[in-house]
Amino acid sequence: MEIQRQNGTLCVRGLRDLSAASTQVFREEIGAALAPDLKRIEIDLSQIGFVDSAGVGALVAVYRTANEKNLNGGVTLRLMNPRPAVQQMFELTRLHHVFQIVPADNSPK
Amino acid sequence: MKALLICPVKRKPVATLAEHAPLAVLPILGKALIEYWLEYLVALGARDICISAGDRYEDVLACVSDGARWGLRITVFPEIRELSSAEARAKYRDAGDSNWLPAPHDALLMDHLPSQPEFPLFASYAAWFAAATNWLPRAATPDRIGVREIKPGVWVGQRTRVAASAELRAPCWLGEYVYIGGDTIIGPNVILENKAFVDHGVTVADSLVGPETFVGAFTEIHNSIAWGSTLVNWKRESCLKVPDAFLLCPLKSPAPLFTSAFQPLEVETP
Repeated sequence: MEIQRQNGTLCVRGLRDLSAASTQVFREEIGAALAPDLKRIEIDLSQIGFVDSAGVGALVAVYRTANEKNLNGGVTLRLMNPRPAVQQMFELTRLHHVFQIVPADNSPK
Repeated sequence: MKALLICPVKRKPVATLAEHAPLAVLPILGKALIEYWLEYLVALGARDICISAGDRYEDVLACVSDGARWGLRITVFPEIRELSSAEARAKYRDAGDSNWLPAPHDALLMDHLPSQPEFPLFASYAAWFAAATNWLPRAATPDRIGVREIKPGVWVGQRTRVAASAELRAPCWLGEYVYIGGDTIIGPNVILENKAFVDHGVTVADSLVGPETFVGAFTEIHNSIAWGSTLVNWKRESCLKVPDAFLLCPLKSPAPLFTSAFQPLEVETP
């Protein structure tokens, strides 16, 4: 997993798994990179073929922690290029109303 | 009069649906596809029906039995593949036998609902959903015991329980023994097959929930077919096996393997 900060945006790339086995590391590494001036988190999901409720919970936890630490207002969380099945999981759990989902065709939903 | 029904075998565009049962016995609005065809043929005057079953013959036989329910005499023949109408006629119809329904009703492939050839069932998941929703106003026939239209476009089967705070938006079909929890929004264009369990706070629109399927609290199902733990988005043609049973799961356990091997021994007592 690769984490980069650019102008108030935290970019997470190279994520290969977001299930119960990997969420602890995911939460710790992103939690350590969160800063009070953060405006946006972008997570590239293009290499992930499977997300379970633990993965969904980790994303919610990161989103909540980021907003608690933030001084300037709401931090948005963008999920980039999710595969259709992964996107279905976010829709089933209603998280597409909370996170910005940007499918591979780059039109935000 | 005689007639021949040809069961469709597995079709790639709707492969997930065929995992649960042969396509001919999949329920549509509470009845198997083959049941609609048998009723149709009875109305045309058929009394003796051959069924060519190329996929899971035993399930087809279990569904129709000997046909006494419809006043029919039914014989189910196993096949190793799906026959065309011409092949089925050549195989099952004697050349000199005139006691058959006139063509094309003498040999019918069940790839659509009766009188609805413009809605093919197995072309895609979207096609399946379109055919089922189009059939909705015609499904509540007088022989359906207990089905009632509780408000225009909302049909509810017998022994279905709907919480007072649930909102039902027409058109929608709630089969038998369905449970709808509080603060749910069901519809428009929703079919809940028999024994579906929809927990509280759920929103379902433009979707079909399969028989004996549990839909977990506060979930949202749009443009989808939810069947057991499988969620198919018919609009995007994408498929998800939901790993968490509290979100979506089948209520019916799969049949145990090797049942006969583990039956208790019968010990003769003196």
